[in-house]
Amino acid sequence: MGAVKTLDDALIRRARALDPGALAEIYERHLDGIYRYIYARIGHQADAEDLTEQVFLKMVDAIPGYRSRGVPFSSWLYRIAHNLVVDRYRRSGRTTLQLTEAVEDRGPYADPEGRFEFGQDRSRLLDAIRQLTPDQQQVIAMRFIDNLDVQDVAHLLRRRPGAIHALQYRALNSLQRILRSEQRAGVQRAQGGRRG
Amino acid sequence: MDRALRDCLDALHDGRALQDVLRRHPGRRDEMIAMLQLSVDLQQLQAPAPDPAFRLRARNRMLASARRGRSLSRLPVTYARRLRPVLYGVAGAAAAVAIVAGGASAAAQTVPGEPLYPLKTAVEGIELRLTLDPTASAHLRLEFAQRRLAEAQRLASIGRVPEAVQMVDLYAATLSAGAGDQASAAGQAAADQELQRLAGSLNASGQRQAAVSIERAKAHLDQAMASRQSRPTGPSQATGPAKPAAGRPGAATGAKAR
Repeated sequence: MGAVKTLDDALIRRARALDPGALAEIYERHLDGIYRYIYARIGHQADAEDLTEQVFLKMVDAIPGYRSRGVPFSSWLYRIAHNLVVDRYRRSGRTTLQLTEAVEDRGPYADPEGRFEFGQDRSRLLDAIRQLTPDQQQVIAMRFIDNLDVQDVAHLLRRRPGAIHALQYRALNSLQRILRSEQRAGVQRAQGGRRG
Repeated sequence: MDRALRDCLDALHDGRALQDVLRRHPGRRDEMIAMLQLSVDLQQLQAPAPDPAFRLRARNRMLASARRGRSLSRLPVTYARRLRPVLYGVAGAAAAVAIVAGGASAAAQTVPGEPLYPLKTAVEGIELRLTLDPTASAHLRLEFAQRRLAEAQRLASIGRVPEAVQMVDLYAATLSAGAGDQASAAGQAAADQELQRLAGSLNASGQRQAAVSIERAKAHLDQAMASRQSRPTGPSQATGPAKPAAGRPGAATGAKAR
């Protein structure tokens, strides 16, 4: 997807020696993605900032010992973020990673009519996502909202890339079914209201 | 089953024409178009971007942390070896205190008057003493000054306004005294913005006197930074360690704040 995933070996080598320029470059490449990943699941700006900062401090601590072993650097970094979010969830007694209401609608639709016709609105989408299985929710969020590629998602969910492809297909299919059935129910309600 | 979707998403990602892919899966054209539309709709559900002031603050802290890592790894081997048990002892004792008082991260978040605050300033003092490289040391002072500003914000948010003003004074004094040499123009602008915001929120909540004090501290800081920038910069000035404000030993570490 759109995020920059490939870090050249030279940059990582410099970062492993704690070269400030290399670390700053990695930070600039990944800050937005990591922050948004955390914010979408925590839903609180101060907490999201706190955890995001921790991700990069942990990165500095661990990067001298970083070895790729076939795992992209971005996956390694998102794993740190993921673990911190899971840890925060555990402390607050929650069990499943979920998108919060804090996700922002950045749709290009200028008017509500256009949105109704061409796209799904934010709350309908969020409600529909919440009706998916936890695995499907995760894959939808990671692939299409966080913009992570299949390899990163596979690493985070500890699944094979093939399983992620299959899961994303099933998740989109289910999401579509849910949205359509809700749309039909909405139309029926509107017709019933007019008759009444 | 998912092959068609995979091909379509790959084409979308690579910026290739979708028509060619859809032609390969004629029976599933409508299904794929609907799925792609949905995937595009989902991409609009993105969380907001980070605040610019946070972006800068977290970057500075990350780089300061890297510098500390570098300066420790550059200590002569014998010295580092001799120091190792001491460092472990300090770390162990700090961890024990922090765990007893409710978690290691608690110390970092603490403000003056809380039980872990002395631990926080003590650790800052140790870090400063262990950082031999003058540039790294100056960066560390800047980082600690930024912590004072964060503490001021937290103190103001819980109604401890006089102490918040004290923290802002400490922050401004440290920066005026030299740590500000390490602050970039963008960093200074962000700090200005944060002070402005703090003064604004105090004003809005009726704390006019405190707001005036913060604006005064900000004006002094601006003045000090402006005169520093107008001075010719010699090598020692550019890279030398920041000295605490005259008459305020330990200002950079917040030792006077308790």
